[in-house]
Amino acid sequence: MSLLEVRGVSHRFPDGRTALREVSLSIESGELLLIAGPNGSGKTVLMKHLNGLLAPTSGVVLLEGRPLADCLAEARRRVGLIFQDADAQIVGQTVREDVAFGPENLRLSEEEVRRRADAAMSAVGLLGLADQAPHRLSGGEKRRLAVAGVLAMEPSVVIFDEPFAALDYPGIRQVLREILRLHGGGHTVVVITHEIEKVLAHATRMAIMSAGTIARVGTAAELIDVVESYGIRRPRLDARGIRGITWLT
Amino acid sequence: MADVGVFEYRGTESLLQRYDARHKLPALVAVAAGLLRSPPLGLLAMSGVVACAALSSRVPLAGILRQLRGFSAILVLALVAEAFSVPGARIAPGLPATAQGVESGALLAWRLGALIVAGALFAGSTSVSMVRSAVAWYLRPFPFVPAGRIATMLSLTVTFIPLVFDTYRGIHEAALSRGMALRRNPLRSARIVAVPLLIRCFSRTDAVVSAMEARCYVDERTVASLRSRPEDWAITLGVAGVTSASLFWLR
Repeated sequence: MSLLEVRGVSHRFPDGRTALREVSLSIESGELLLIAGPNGSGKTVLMKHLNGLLAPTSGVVLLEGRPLADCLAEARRRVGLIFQDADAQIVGQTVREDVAFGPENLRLSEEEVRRRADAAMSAVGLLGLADQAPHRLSGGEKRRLAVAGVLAMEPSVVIFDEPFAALDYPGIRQVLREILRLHGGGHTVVVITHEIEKVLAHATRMAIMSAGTIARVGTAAELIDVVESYGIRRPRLDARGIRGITWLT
Repeated sequence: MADVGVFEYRGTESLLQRYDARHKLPALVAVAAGLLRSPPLGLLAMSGVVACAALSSRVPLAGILRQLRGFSAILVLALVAEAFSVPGARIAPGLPATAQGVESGALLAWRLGALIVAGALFAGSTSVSMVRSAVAWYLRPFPFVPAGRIATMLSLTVTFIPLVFDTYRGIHEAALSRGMALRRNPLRSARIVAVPLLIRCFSRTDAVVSAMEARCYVDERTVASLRSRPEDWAITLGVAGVTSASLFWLR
């Protein structure tokens, strides 16, 4: 059984625009799935279906075989979303308060909230900035704060929406290291991006979205030669092949 | 533009920071009432309360005053408006400002300045989670009042004030770089900044709501526990006493 399964999902907005058409995709436990596609291909709308922020117009999303609508609270706890705009995800006045937001919503005891917040901040290297105002952090630190806010809820799946947008080179490396650390620690990770060269070397599988559909699913090696035809820049390979395009060397 | 960083929580360990938020909120209301409504002698006493709070906050007062320079335009405006609008004896022939107006304006500027310092001290020494816990504590006894939701809304408002100002700064600078300063009509200039600011605020609100829902938002969340100590009661009674004296006896 897949950890998350999207089965024939379509989504139409009230203004009549169709964002997803009959999308089917499974996400397996422990994988690092890259979902690539140009702007407007429906990547973010699909992401919002994966923890029940949006409900499908038709079709169903399953969490370990159960429809999300039947276990919405559990789905939101277990499937953590990290949005493209890290600023919009910040709701706390200090780093600690922001990280504690999720555990407080789970109505955990004050001690447990503190324990989880400390553990999450420590995991992303922000414990030293616990009393700092979040909007004073750098771009990379804000992304790590968003990761900590999700980690404090102890999710099984972490989904990043355009995690490298508007980051400088050190910021991209920080976030990429964080993604790999989560994956190495046993989390299922989904990275949604059009900048595939930043994460392709580390992805276990890749899906390409185009005009609201899943156009192709396969390994990076299988799909790298067709990405250009879907409006995604093909990374240049050296002698080492796909493994050689990592940003972490 | 006033620097809203002065209203940021500082988390400095101090008597004012430890002061229970359930006491601090009504104390702030009392201080505000005293500052705005007291006669001059009472205003002096209430300013003394604010000065004591500043000393107990362990935040360098010079730093606060430096950050408050941006508000001096508001205080000068209040003084000038009073000076020219209050009837009385003119201070110089041909100048429509009156002596009574200048006196009234100086008092108003003093009141507003002290009130801004009091607000900055409160915001700098009280975390939003403490304010949220205190508001929820006050509202919980009232049936049909969504105490948790109101407390969260209040805490989000406080959290987002600096962000709104940051957004304003960005839009204003972008407009200036495209020659906004060349426009003579201040209303049109204001509109150039206000429209994108409102759009950005509304779209950010949508994004924040999504992010909150994604993190399992519920109205009744875990709240920080609050503790009242004997010194909290002593401070509150002291503030209540000085405020009463300022409002009713010190004339």
